[in-house]
Amino acid sequence: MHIRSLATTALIMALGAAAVTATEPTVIPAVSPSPDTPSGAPAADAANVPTPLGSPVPAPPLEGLVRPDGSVFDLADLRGHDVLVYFGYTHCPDVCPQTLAEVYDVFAARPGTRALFVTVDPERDTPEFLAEWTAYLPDDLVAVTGSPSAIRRAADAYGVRYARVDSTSSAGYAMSHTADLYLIDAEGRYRLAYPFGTPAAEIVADLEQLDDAG
Amino acid sequence: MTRTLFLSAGSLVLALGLAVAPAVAQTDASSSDPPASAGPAAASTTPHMASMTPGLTVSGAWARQSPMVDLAGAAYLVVHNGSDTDDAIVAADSPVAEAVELHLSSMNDEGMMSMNQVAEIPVPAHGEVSLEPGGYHIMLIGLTEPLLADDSFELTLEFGAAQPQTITVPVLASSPMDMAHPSMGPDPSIAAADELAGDGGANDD
Repeated sequence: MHIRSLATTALIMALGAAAVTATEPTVIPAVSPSPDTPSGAPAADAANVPTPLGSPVPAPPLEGLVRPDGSVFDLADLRGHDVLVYFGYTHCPDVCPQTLAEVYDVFAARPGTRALFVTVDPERDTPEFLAEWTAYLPDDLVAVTGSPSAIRRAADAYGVRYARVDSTSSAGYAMSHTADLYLIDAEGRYRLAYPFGTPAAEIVADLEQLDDAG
Repeated sequence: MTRTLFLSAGSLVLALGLAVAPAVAQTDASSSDPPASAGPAAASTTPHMASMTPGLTVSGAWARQSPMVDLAGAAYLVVHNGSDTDDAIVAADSPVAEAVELHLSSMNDEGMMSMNQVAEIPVPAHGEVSLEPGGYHIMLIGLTEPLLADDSFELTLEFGAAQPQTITVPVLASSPMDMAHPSMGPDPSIAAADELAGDGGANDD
């Protein structure tokens, strides 16, 4: 828990430092989108502390994934919107709904924001199940699934790790997973990772800053 | 079982020398129906009866909206232990779910959030445990009805030492913490004992 608190604190400090230099357009520290970037660890490493890496970079494409209606998903479809990307699973009763609740708060404060939910549990999260699930959720959230290999490739591109955890629970198996939210700006550039527990207000503040910076 | 638990609680009260709960302090559980008055009703419906249960106080309960019965719901609350005895939530039950389990979400050493069923949730003496998103939670599996915002349901908590308590859990669309405490990340930590030293006169350090 200390790790999480420190990560949050570091985020606040990083954002605070950025705010001090508000006289010129501020570049949100970006996180390496790729595990093979020499100078940066994957987003979820280093105790989830966002790593400033200079200029934003194009977000890794998410290929081979499908929407609940079975159509092929293309990340470029969301161009023009700030997008919060999350890798989770629908049978997650605690961490994922909490994160999505923060996302909905961002939706409320920043209309036009979109969210992308990539399941890490394609076995249960079929297109049909996602269709039923998303019927209860805001339209601004897009949920996608795919083959196990396509999901693994997408996760790897974002530094997301996940694993199935078998359990004696009546709820069946669980998925452990990194639980960061990734911010992609309206130009499709990868900007920042937020560790689990980041309040919506912090994300909203960043989106406003992005707006101001153009 | 009821008798054993009741005598245990009564003995504890006597040992502490607390005279605030005469009904609980009875030593013969069969002579009346104190469990009915000191247990289920005490937690939320009649706040003034909280003094009848000097051991554990349950507060802040809520459950997240869960419209799909195929997916598990989650309930959160705070248990405060004003006694000198360590206790624990050992089980929970609710008419809205076929199975109710105790779970802990935590970050594993690989940086992944992982959820595991636990046998109990400790409530240390003169401390409290906060069930919050990203930490301990009560999982409601096999919902018998959708959990919709503004509804509420009953949840019975069983403890290792104290008597069971049945509380009313309101269903909320999102965490009450989301907007209220923007600087606080979810933290399932158990509060330190000294946090409570001021309000209970329990200066036993």
